[in-house]
Amino acid sequence: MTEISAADAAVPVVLRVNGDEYRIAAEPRRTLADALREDCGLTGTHLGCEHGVCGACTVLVDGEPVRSCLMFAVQSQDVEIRTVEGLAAADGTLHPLQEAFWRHHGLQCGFCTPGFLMLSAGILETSPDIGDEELREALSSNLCRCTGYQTIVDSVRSVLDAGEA
Amino acid sequence: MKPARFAYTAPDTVEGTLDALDRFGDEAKVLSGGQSLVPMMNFRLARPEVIVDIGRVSGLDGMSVSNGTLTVGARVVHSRLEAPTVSTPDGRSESLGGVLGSLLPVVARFVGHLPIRVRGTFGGSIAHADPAAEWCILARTLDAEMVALRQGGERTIPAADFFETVFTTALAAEELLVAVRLPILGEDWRAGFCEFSRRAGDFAVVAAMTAVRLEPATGAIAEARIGVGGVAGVPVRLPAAEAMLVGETPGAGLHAAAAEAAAGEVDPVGDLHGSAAYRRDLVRAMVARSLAQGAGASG
Amino acid sequence: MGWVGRSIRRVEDPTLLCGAGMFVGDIGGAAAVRFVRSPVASGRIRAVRGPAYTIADLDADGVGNIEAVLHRPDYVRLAQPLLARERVRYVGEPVAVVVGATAAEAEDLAEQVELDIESLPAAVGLEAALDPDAPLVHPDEAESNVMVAGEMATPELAGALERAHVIVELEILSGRQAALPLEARGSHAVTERFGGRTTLHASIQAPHMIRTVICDLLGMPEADLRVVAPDVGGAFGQKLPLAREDAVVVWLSRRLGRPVAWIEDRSENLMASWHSREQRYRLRAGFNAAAHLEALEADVVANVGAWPCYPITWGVEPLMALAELPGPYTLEHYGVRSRGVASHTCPMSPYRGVSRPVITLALERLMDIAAARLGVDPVEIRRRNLQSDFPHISPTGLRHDEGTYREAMELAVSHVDMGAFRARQDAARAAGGPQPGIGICTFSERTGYGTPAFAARAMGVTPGFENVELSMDPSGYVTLRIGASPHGQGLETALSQIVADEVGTDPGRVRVVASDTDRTPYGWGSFASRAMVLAGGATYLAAQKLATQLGSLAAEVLEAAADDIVLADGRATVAGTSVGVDIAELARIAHHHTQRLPTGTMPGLSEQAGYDPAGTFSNACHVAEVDVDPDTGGVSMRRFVVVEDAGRLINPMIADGQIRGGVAQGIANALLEEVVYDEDGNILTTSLMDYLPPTIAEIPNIEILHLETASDATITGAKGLGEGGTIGAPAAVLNAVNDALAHLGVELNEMPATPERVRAAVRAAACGDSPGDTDRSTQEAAVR
Repeated sequence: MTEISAADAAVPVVLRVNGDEYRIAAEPRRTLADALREDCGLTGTHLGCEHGVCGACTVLVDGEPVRSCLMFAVQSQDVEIRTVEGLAAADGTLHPLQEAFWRHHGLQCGFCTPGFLMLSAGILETSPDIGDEELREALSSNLCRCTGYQTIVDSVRSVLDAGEA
Repeated sequence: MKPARFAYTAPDTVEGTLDALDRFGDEAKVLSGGQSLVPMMNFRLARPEVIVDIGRVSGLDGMSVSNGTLTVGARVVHSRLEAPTVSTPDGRSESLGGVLGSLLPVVARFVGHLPIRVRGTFGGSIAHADPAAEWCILARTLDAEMVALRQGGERTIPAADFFETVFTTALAAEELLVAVRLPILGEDWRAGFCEFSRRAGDFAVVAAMTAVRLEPATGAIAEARIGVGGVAGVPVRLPAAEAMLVGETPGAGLHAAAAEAAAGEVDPVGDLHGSAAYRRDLVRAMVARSLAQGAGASG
Repeated sequence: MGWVGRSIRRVEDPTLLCGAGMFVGDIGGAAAVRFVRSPVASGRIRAVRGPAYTIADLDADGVGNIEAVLHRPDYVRLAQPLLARERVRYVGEPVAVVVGATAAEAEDLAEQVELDIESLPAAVGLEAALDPDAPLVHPDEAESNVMVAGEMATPELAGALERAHVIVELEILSGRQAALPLEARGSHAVTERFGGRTTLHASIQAPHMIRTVICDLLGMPEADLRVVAPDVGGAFGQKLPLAREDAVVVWLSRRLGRPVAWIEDRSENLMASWHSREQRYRLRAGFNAAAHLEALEADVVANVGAWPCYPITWGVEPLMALAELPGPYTLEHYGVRSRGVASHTCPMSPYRGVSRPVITLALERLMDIAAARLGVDPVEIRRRNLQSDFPHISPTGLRHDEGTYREAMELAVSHVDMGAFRARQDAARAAGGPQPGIGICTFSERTGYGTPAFAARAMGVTPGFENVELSMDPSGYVTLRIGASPHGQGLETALSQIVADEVGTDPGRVRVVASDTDRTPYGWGSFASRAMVLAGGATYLAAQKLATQLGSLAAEVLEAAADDIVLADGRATVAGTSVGVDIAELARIAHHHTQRLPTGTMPGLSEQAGYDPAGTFSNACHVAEVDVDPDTGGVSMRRFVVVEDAGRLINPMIADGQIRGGVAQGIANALLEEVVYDEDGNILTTSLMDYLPPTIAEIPNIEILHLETASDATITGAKGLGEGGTIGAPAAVLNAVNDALAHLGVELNEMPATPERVRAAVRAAACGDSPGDTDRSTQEAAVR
């Protein structure tokens, strides 16, 4: 019979995040977002709604952008997770998307920014040839309350275009 | 907005899953992509005692065609239906052609957003049974068949019987939805899908799917299906409007008349997102446009 | 070339881009606080059972009540407890509080708390609350639900209306909206085990003011409370007033002696944080034959919810409407009655633009309707009515400084090419299908006001001035400490540009310290489009003083006259020569070789300054182009043009970002977002699937053009612009929707113009119903 994890006990969970291994203990109800923030100390992943609409908690799971508020930590053991903390190089050199968001004023308060960066990283890596209309459609996945969005599109577009050059 | 406590199991086989469902019955809830269930758990609107996670179960994520029927595994994610491919008997993979092959990507683009589509599953959406969900409307319109397993048994449930009311299906607590069978719609079919939502990626306020089969010789409609979501606790078919189409030749006047009949045939209940009168207006507009879209697709 | 006026990249960004920002929820190490909230709109509390603290515990500790005061007649003064006492007055009102090890466990505990509440009749919505037989929200303190009222009329109003060539009557409705910062509210408090000093980190806009009120409530000296606003994930007014929850968190940390944190979830934020802008305007306007607006009479009502907000009070919306309704027009005769009406709904706070989005909607709909009645083009009627003589004094005594009201409109109209648009519109009308529409909105934005303007409001406390402290350390780097509290606007960057120009350094050598009461001078925070004007003005003055200090020191070192010293590029040089000294060297001398300073010179390099202006008006013209689907009522934005005059732009990139973000919120107000209650007072919009902020798919690219009028109303020449986008966009969009459907006889004067409302207006027009009451029949399940 398959093993059952009790509701009120923390179970050992191994998360692989940005190439590092985190051995944590989490109740089954712990979401991936909370595990990243509370157990791994990776607070760059933000919570804006906890029901899958705003996208502030977007991380990459096996290269694809997902809502980490809609996954449980116990589900996330055999996958590669990437968060905003893993975007810049180890020496602090910013990722091209981070540079572009900076240059194009793609952020104001910065709360939605990690989610938009990871969404954009997923788009950049899986659909480098994405057209303008599809890009806007894909970026409509996340909410930003400050920028009015166009500078976010400009940021991502500039990195996509640089990749083609 | 943190879920209530639950016990968790993640079997790696169908048998293990059925075993767990048999053991926990009503206390258990199947977790597939989680894109509908987990929000409800975070709001504590859903409070399962036991989560049976089928994420490790292999064999539920295939798509194949035989005898004019497409079988979609329950764990196929929405994004795969944006460019559907099927496995051939000799183990290759090829694009799904035909009318259904053209229709599925059109519909898939309306399902949530990119991060929802890469994680949420076709079977999860069907089993969740939101009356405005695109796949539920498609299943009802095309008379899909749901394949359900339980320990020691399998049954097939027609769409007309499967959706009972909001978030409620004919699946028993011990049953697992493993696949959905859809007709591939031969070249004599014309299909369309239109949806009105408040924002990109939102659930439809009203959505309509239409499919008509044309007599090759005359071009007249031999068979018609109109399904709408957002007007009742389940996606509904509109037989009176369908009947108006049969025997007629597609055209703007006919589409308008059928759409008017459709608007009269539904009996929606108003809510925050639209009054009954408004939803009726949307049915008229969506049905007319879906029929026109289908006619346009015929070239 | 100076730094001011350049679009340099923001100094705030690298931290935020790397996920290294520190928002309240990121601090950690604290027990989780959860509030147990009223499930009913109106009721009497019989008992609270379970593991929770209630008002009885606060009372036992002598915690005081919040008193938001306006010193004026027709204002009902209340004492508001931090948790509900005896009665609940809206769904979501905090009744009890629990503390758990984690957020999930706190939520489990909250579920165990049993609220025994006897439900009472509720007044929900504007009309219900105004009804003479309405249940009273504060029956012991007031005889009606009117909590604040103001009235005025110029002497000749009645006669002017009688003489008018045309009278236009109009009713404008604005739905209830939520500011919806993407980070909800939150607070985190730690009390030192020895000494008893408490540090509160909270997602707020005005840390000093919050420190004062919390200390007043808890009876503690301000020196014992440090308030820090760390990174704040948007605020838009919602984080300006005192959150009752924040005060309770401080009390809990002191009572329990352990760190505690309350992180508001989205559902709480939509239900129980502040709402805004549920208003009704009835206008009666007299135009002469030349289409000049001669007289305007208005009745304004705002549903202000169940409690006032501290310190602004629930007068803020109705009284702003009273004062600012005449807008940018040369109106002479004006009369208004404006009331704030309490109801059993969530309290209101200022939200970006406060009443001005509705004021502007009312005026701009009025202009378009009058233009149609008088057979004048919408551009022409504005041309004839906009102010052009400056300073212009409004009928309510507001002084409009120099602006470009007409010029901005002319530029906007020529930019969009009205002729080409009308040709496209004609073609679409012939073809059927989606109908294009265009809408214009001209408005002014009162910004950057200090103590005089706030004193006129007669609040219990008078906000206003901003102070800064500026110092140069021995390395030659400059530290600027400000009382303003930026949260995403880019103020640090802009202020560093001002300092750099005055002191002759570059912005990379300027550090701005803000939002921490231990490290900054007392100030009023960031709100009301004021920080650039006030903190910017104070910074400019302090930097000038520091430059003077550096100049004197350089003169001493270089043996030159102080007047001949030029500070630039990190050096102090004698004008017209190559003789100079590095500013960093001067900084060393000022701290480490003070024996070289003339006798009596104060060692070190530090200055302070304050700025407290009367205020200024920026102005703008917005043009919206939409497509309206008459069958579904769906509206899509095709184009949006802004011509903005906010005086001198310190950092144009940042200014454009403020405009774009504001316009996006304005479009959302116009088309999408509405807080909805049912008739029992249950709130129906507690998720982002029901309350609908726009995605990128609903927001077009926003084209921005600038005019830069020099004004003597601000010392830097910069005017505020933080709210303008939100103020103008709703009117532009609704005018465009009406323009699109004008050939069908549609008139729609309610926002948000939801698809259902647009469709209902189309149907009503087709049936020949009178415009204005098109919507009521369709709102079956929901009342506002």
